[in-house]
Amino acid sequence: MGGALFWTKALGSLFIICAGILGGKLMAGKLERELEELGRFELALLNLSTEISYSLSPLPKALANAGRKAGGDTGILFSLTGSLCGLEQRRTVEEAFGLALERSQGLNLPARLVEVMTVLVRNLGVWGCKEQIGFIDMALRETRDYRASVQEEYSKKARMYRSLGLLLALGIVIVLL
Amino acid sequence: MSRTVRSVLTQDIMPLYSSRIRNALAQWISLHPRRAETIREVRLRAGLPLCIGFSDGDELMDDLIVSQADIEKTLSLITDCSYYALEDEFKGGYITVPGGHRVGLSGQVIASSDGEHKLRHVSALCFRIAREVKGVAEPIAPQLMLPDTGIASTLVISPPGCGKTTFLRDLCRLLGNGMAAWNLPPAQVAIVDERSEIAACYGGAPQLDVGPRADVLDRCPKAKGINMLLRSMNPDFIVTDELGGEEDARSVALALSGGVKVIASCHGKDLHDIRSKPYSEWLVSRGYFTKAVVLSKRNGPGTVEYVGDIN
Repeated sequence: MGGALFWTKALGSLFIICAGILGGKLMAGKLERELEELGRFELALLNLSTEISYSLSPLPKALANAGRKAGGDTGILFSLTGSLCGLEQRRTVEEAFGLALERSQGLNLPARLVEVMTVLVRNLGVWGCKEQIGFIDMALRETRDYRASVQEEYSKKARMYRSLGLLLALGIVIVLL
Repeated sequence: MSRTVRSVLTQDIMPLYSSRIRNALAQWISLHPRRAETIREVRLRAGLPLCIGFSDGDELMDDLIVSQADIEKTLSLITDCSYYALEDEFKGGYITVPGGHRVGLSGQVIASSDGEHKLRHVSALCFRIAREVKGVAEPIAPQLMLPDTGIASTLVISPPGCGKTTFLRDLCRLLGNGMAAWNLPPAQVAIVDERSEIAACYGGAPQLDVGPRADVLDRCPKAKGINMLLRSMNPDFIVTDELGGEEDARSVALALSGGVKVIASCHGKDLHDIRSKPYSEWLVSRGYFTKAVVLSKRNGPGTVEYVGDIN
């Protein structure tokens, strides 16, 4: 009887500790994913800039190519926006981006990425090459600054979240025992 | 079969406007279906009423003031959201949209550091409806034939707006199809379309019917284009619009001496007028062109004043 109680407590404690560690990892993982998506966004902007400045690709095609190369949820958003804008679709980039956002509710996009993109699409496709690259560079700088701050937060908080998860679980185990 | 202006407007042009303008124009067309068939152009000017141009004047829609946002939306669509990709085309002051319609642009011109002038802040757009009138060259073509050699090198002469380009386009179509009734076999036709008026190309593809055997060099300077086509496309005919200076005349002469026939147009009231201009006189007096067609708008655009030998 005593042996069974011990094993029940031991298994329960193990479960709580695992759950704590997992919770901490999930909190840190959220920051990791945000960083990853911001990296993809930077890549997509760089690709877009290249498409525009070197090959003068029409914007629908340039957005689709940049999205394909970047991948992830950012890539999906870029490709979708590209497929929804232009002469054939009778939509401006701004209108297409709004619609793409509506259609991609399930995507995991950092709020800041959406903010930067919302400002950028107002100036996409309506300026000359030089100005166009300028606007993309501005968005890129803004994203890099934000990513640096997220990176800093990540390096500070990721370990903390993991440790907190473990400590919380240990605390619960001690109280319960 | 030629399309009605109403269908051209509703299918090709109005989808390029903001919904406000589209709806107002659609309503106007449904109220004035006959008048709509005479529409030649639609002008959008920021801060001013929409202007509809007809063959006999224009009309301002005072209750429909075009905003800068309307212009920007339309500009975005006609450039396929890619203004940057068309900067060089804007230097010509217009672009062509699907259907072959030409959109003229005006606004602020800025001189860049490299000395180029670029159009920025577009505030006005003029949509000119492309119209093709098929069959106008059919009654005239037989009169341009020489025994055994088919259609001769021909100069089409008229003042602006009298149907030179329409005539050239229809002649291209006839040459490419051939005319069985006159034992005229189909011919390879090469068109140098410097101002995108003959074939009205969009993305390099003709939007108007220039026949099944036409190769078009769009927006290419005439002299350069004629030389390129001579070397590359082995044409039977070279067709070009509005011959002007010495370089054009020399290229035409080169093509004709190489055995290719040339059908070209030039500004002028009549044969006498043509002879008063140095380069056309040079071409005519040396016998490069054999036949001439003179058009006027005495009884409406395309009135034929003369068809026959040029000398």
